[in-house]
Amino acid sequence: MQLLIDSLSKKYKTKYALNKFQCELKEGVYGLLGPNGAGKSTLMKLLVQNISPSEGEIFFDGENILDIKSEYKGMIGYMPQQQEIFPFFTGRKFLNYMGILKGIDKKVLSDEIEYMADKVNLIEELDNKIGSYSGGMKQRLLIAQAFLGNPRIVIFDEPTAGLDPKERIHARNLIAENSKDKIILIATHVVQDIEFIADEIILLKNGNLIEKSSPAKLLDKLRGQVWEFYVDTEKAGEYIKNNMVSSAIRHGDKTLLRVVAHEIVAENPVNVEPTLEDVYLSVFGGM
Amino acid sequence: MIKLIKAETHRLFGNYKLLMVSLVLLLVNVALMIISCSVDDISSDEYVHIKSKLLSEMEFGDIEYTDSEAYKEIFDEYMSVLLYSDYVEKTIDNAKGYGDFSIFQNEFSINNSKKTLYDFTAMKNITPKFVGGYGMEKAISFASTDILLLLIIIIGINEVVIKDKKNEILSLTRATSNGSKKYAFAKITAVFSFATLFCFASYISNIVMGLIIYGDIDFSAPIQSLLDYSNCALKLNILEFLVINFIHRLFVCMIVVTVISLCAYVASNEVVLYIYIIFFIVTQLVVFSIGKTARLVFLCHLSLPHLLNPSEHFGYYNYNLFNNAVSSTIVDGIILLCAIVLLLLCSVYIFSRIDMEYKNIRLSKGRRRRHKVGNLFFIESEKIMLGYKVIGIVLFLCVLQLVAYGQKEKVENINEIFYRGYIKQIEGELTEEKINYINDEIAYMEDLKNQWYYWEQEYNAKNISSTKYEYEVERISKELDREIPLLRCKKYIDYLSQSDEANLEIIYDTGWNYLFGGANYKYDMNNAMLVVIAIIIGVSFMYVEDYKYNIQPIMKICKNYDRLKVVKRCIMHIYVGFVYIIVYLPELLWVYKNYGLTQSHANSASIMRLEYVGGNLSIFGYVCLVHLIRLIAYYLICIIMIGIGKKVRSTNITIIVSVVIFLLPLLLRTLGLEVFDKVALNSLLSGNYFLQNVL
Repeated sequence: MQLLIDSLSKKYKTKYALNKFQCELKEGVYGLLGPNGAGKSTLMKLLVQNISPSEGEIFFDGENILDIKSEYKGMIGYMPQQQEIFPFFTGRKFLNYMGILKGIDKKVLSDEIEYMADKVNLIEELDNKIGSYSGGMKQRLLIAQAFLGNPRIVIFDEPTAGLDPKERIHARNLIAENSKDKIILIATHVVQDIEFIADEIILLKNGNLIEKSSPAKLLDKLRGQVWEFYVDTEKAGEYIKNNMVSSAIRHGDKTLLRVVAHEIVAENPVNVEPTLEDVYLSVFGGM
Repeated sequence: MIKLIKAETHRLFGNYKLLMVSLVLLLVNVALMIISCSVDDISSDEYVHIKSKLLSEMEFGDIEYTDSEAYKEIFDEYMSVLLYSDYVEKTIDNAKGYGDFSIFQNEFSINNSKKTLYDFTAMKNITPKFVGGYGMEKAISFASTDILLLLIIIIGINEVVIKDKKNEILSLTRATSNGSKKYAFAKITAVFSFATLFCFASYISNIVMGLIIYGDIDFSAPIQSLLDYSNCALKLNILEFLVINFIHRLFVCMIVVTVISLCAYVASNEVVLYIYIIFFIVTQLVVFSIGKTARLVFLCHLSLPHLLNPSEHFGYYNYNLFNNAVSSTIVDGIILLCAIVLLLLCSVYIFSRIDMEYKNIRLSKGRRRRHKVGNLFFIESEKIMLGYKVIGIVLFLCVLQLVAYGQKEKVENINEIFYRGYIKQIEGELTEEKINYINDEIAYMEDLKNQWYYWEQEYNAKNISSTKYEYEVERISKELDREIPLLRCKKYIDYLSQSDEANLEIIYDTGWNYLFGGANYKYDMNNAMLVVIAIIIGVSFMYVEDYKYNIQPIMKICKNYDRLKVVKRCIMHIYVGFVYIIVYLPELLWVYKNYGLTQSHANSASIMRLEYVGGNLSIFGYVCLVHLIRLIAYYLICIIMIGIGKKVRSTNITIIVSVVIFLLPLLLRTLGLEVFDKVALNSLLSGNYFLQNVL
């Protein structure tokens, strides 16, 4: 299975939201990282055909998706960045509605709803109105609908936005568990969401593809460039201003700084292992 | 306590959405009042015309007789005022009579007579005057306002009680020192304040509309000047009565607020609350009906329909209290007060005692049960009708039409009866024989007039007695009653014989004329207004509300999204069709039942009103054409609205824009501004007006 994105561009008036984006996706989990306005949502909308590209094409297994429109729609699961679902529907009714819209065979839909609800831990609440669901429950319901019908490509836009840490972990694990034999694309600006589950990370900035690589390779590139050291708290501000600082923790009159830099001028700097947050910082700028 | 009340009140008055809903309901109230006045058999224009003549110190005898309901209403009002002192004297005499024959009366009858004698002796110095207060009577007993007030109370209680239950705030606050009884009282007070504001605004708007439509009145005149209040034994002028009636309404409103609050405290969710409210309303209607039919006056007097009808509530009646005659108005007032206190205590007590847990409505139990998968049409219908509550509009329309046509009476004056009699005799093909018959009848009328003249001369010459003269004049006058309808018949026959159209028939056309929009197309416009309101609200929710949930992006990428569009279109067609039937079918059935709709196969030009229609089109064909044009206009509105909705992506804005484009011109036309005949889609919505200008 292969999804080929060929020179994809989307232009709004004079500004490119996405500029000649070129990428090949195969089975696996892809993290789409970038700050607000990087073009993540535009790329997702183009992939799910909610908007049309200004230039470029998308191919699925060698066929232009415009030529296999209906078939392609049947292969996609999508979870947009929002939590507003019809509050008057029960969870079951909503999944039922989405299942019918996705064209899932009625004979298997009921069982599939039960299966997915069980997977997202909503089986007990399935017959309650969505209006009574918490934010996390709504998010899990949206994840369930995205996986409904066993789509081959699943796209998540900020799947953990607004969730508490426990819910975040739950949502992240859910996606990872269901990722087998699928292309899963997760757009986020929260690095931890994809740190442990993404096979590859796509870095987007101002509509341009910056990097597409595995987390290990991205970390390798930064190895030797991440430092930790103490400075006087009163001088910390100046350091933060002039360097790429990924964290600053105050210990009395001293502050522990974590800085991404090729070389560092400080007292007793310690070279530490980079994380994806450091990568994000090095690409998109710091504090 | 004050702080709690302030906080709860602020929740209602500071809620922008609630204020908007109240405003919309207030506008609906005004619109319903206008519609009610325009479909009233008493024509407001004619009423104002006759009224202004009478008020400019003319005698009733100077007013030209018209066989209309407006004339009859004014005549009744005028006579009621003129004969008020006779009425009081007669009541006093009756009371005296009962007292004299006390041997045949029980103790209550004697006491009742004494009280009546006392009360009405005090009324002797009251001198009602003609004010032309039909509009005022209509304004203060307008039933739709009561229904809207009930809606406002339900909305307010839902906001401060059910929502708090749902968000588990009630369980939380009850644990605090002020969160129990005081909190319950604060909530009731807040809803009552909110309802009071609406009650006041709707009361004032009704009065203002009544004055605008049926003309100004003298507020300093005694309340007995109003026809329905002539038996009221209160010494008040109209203005004072309006104030007293408003205070009385507030008492009734408080009762309803406390009852519904009590229901809300007990109910586990909104659905259970609505079931309780329906039960409460049904109970009230049953109590009222039983009270009326079984002559259990006490039961009847304490039901909401009676309490909210001021002419009945403030009418003169004495209860039998241990053989004493006591004024029903005073007893009802005391019972109302006691009921409010009792219900308040009960609500507050229950609030502090029972579990305040919100329980979700479980549509089905048993997680392992295999659930039926619905089809797209039914789920989408459920979403729109129940989820977006569009079913409410359909039900509201059904109730409105049931009430409107349930109590609508056929207005048939003597002229109409004679006209129908003539036409029924000559119905069908136009023949020489029928024309001769009408001409003979006209000649006979002329002969009668000559006879009248003859008898008058004989009487003046004292050749006959006054008895003989009066007998002959009465006989002739009775026969001459047929003259006006006969002339109408003649005009019709002349039209038919002079027309170039072929296959014309004589038809009794009153029913058909009603269906063709009535005078000035007012029935067309009123019906169109109802359908347009239903379409604006229904279609906005059907097509635009989805954007509110941002669910469109997921739906759009689904394989069956195109099927969903088809399903939506089907639901819209069914909805518009259903609304159309609800609005137009009762009218058709009512006309058919009351006037009959015969000879639908005949050439439409057989009806004088349709003389502009040519081409041998049958009446049935013409009716179908009118309905087709209207339907096209309604679907045009739907299409434009869907376009607006897609652009603005907001239900509220879509509704506002549509109201300005489609409803406002229609409303202005309904108010009588004929300049709006051709504005927007008005002529298409009438159908008849459009065809008159096109054919």
